[in-house]
Amino acid sequence: MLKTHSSYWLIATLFVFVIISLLIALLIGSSPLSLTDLLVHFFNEQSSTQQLIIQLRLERALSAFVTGGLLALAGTLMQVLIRNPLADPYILGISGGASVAALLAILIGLPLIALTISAFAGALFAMLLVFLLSRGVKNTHWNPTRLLLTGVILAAGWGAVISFILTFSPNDRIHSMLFWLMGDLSYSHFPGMGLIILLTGLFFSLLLSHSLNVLIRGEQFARSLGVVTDNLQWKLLILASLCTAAAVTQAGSIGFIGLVVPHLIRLIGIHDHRILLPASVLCGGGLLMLADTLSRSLFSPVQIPVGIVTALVGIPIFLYLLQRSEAYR
Amino acid sequence: MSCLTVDNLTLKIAERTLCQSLNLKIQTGENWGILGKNGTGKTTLLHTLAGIPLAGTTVNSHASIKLNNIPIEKIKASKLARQLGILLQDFQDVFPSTVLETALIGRHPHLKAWQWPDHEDIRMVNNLLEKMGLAGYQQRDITSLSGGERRRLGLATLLAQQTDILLLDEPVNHLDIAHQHQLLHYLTTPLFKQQHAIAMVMHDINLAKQYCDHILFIYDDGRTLAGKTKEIVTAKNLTDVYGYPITELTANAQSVFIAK
Repeated sequence: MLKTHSSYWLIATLFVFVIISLLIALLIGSSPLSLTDLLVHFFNEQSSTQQLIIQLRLERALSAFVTGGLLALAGTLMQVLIRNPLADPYILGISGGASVAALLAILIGLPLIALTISAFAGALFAMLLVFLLSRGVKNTHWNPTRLLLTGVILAAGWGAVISFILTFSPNDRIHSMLFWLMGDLSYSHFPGMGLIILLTGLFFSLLLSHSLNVLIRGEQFARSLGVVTDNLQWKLLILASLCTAAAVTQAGSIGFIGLVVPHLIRLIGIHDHRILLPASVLCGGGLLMLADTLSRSLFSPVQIPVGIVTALVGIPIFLYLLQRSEAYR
Repeated sequence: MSCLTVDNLTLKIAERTLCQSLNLKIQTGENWGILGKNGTGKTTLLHTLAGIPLAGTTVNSHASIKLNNIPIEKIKASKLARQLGILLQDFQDVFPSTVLETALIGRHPHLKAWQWPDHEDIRMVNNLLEKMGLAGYQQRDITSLSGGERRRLGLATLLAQQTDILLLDEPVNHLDIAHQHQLLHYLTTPLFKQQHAIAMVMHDINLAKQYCDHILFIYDDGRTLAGKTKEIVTAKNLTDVYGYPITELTANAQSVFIAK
């Protein structure tokens, strides 16, 4: 793993990218603002319509940043944990548990705060289920294949429950349910809890990051280089699951960010997790802010779920980079 | 001077005994070849000696494996990785990485969590890559390497770990005849041998005979036979070990073992 000046430049560039995305998120929308409007009203104490708009957009943009950062972090960790480039934050069914709980809350007609709590509880429950089942009854040895199979099967189970709930839901609830399932930031509030989980998650991941460089090359190999893998993998599972739970609670199951962002950074040539992890967080956060801006302004006044935008924008970018990459040729 | 001592080791995998009451002492300057049929537990033994037993392996309670008189299970994993290294049978290359980055991972046990390899590390690794015939490959992605090239990269990575004890699981697997001899020649040069104790699982009897000074035979009923190559590598012993008739041919003052 090399430390080169390009690593620093990448982090600096991503910071600029995040700032620009934030500005775009603040300026563009059903009522566009100019940069001067923004500067004048942002620091103006008197309340005005523009100021209200800025405040709403700022909250939503922050929420998008935190969600995108959480998803990218969870995706990177999950890919190392399962050692599969196809792994994403949702592969172990954690979002499935959150979705079932959230849909039930929508079905009953609970208020937003209760929906949030319910979704987080559902995610934690799904996470616990994966932990217990993948650990086995008497076997305490770590086995990533069993973890993956357990998670995939549980995810399928959650999917069935989701379809079941949708089938029996009244028409007036289906719309908000679908938005939640596709991933949507329109009900987002200031992402206090998400921000705390993102920062602590990134902090603890960075503590592990040096060992992740070895673990990603295989468990036996990592052990032969003195990495205590059992311990490390449980920590990874907990970190990745918590980040996923926080992201899903914030905005439903937004696809592609968690899968694609870590690969984007790798395709630039960054393979060291000490750089890869923070770079993924910045890139995921910035991208989701942009995608959310598009989702609320493309067909304004109609807002589309941001999950559609992340898919439509993410897929072609990813395919283009994949075509150019030597590693996946 | 390093020394890996095995006392009274019985290995089992799923109730099947792989080796029975094995006693072995591998020290600096020695080059052991481990020979046996498929499935007799050569890899399992190597992993157990390296302190990273494979899942499902059970070791009898009276056994002891000591590195310089300290039981390996008492040595901290990161410290053990600075004294003992193992070349695994295969690699999982799912994610992209360049040849240079991959070889530098061998420096992992020597670096602190936030320490990057310095010029000295890079110079050393480049030197090893050159020795393994991979000069100029530094920026290639590992997924574009051939089987033999990947194997030699694995060896460069292991040598970058700078351990006194080297356990090699089929080091010449995938290598062409020239690279087989170049590698084994390198591992048996006097200067290299002075600093290392080596044990390697081999399938080629003649290479083992030529380059290893000691041999450990593992029979498929769990018996083992250890000794000097000159004394125990005979057509009769080989026939016993492999359960297949093997004979010795002599030509141009060189003798080779071939299957009848």
